[in-house]
Amino acid sequence: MKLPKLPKIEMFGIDIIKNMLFFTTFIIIFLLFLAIFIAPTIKKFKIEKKNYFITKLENENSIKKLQLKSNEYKKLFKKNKKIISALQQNFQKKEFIEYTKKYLLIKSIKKSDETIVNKHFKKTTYIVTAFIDSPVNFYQFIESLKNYKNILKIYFPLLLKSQNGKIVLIFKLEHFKTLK
Amino acid sequence: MYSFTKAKEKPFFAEDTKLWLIFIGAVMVLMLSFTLLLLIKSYIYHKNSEKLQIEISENNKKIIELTNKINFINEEKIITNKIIVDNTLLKDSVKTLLNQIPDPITLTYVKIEKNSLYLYGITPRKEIYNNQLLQSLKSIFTTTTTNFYQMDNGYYRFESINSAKELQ
Repeated sequence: MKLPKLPKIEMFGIDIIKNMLFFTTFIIIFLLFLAIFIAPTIKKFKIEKKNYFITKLENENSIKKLQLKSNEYKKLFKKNKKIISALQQNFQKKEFIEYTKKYLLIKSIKKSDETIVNKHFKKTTYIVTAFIDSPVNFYQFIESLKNYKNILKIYFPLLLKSQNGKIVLIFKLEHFKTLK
Repeated sequence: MYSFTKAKEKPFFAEDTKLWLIFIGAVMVLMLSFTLLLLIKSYIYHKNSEKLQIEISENNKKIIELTNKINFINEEKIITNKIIVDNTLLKDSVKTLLNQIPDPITLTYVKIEKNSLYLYGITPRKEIYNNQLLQSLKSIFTTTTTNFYQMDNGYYRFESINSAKELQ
């Protein structure tokens, strides 16, 4: 069956019907491309761009926060350097005996117990037996512990008894050290 | 019949058809290129976002680490300060206690525990002990028990056991 031939309408030698058909085809193709390819891609592009700038902003905030935390840590570390270092030191009996000579004469230091305090610290308990001339020496000794290289605590029971004109002093000494 | 001119070949597409086809083709290529460009840009944004996300999570990890370190230093500070305070309190407690012993009384044995105190010594007279030391001990401890033993020289050996209230 033969299709009926379209009538040929010409204006200044241009085939109007053919050009109209081409124009319509062009519009349809253009709209199809727009709907299938360009519109979803633009949508995706906009979402990705928005996400990128949100993430960039979040990153800038996290960098600022990190900087602040880092400064806070450095400041705190510098301020407490002495404490941090003291809590990392091992307890040396000989050095301790030598240090306390000014205040008391240590006869013995016996290790009695070892426990974990607050999950992060090791507490080693020693029983110290020493001689002192006067209780004042003991007060001075406690005061001097503030400047000692270790963190030491004097604890009960505390015993003072006279022996041949001297005072025998027995006390519990607790040494604190960080576990890290 | 003969013709003096050769017959012209009829073009497959007319001139205006060719123009339309080239125009439509060019527009299609341009649209596809634009789509591809957008896809590439989207991919770059996506990759950069991923990189930034990794950076953010690393920064957050570092922030948590630093927070833990800060908390730990604070804990170290608290425990150290508590030890210093405890030592000072113990020193002051012993000092206060020994300063309360009146001159005529001589102590031979002192045992200080967390909640109790044992005092052994010699007093010339019971009254000195009762008037000058016992009152102070009673103000600190809830229960105070004292035993006296007379010595050959007339002095009294005493044993005082005090308990309850915390010394520190």
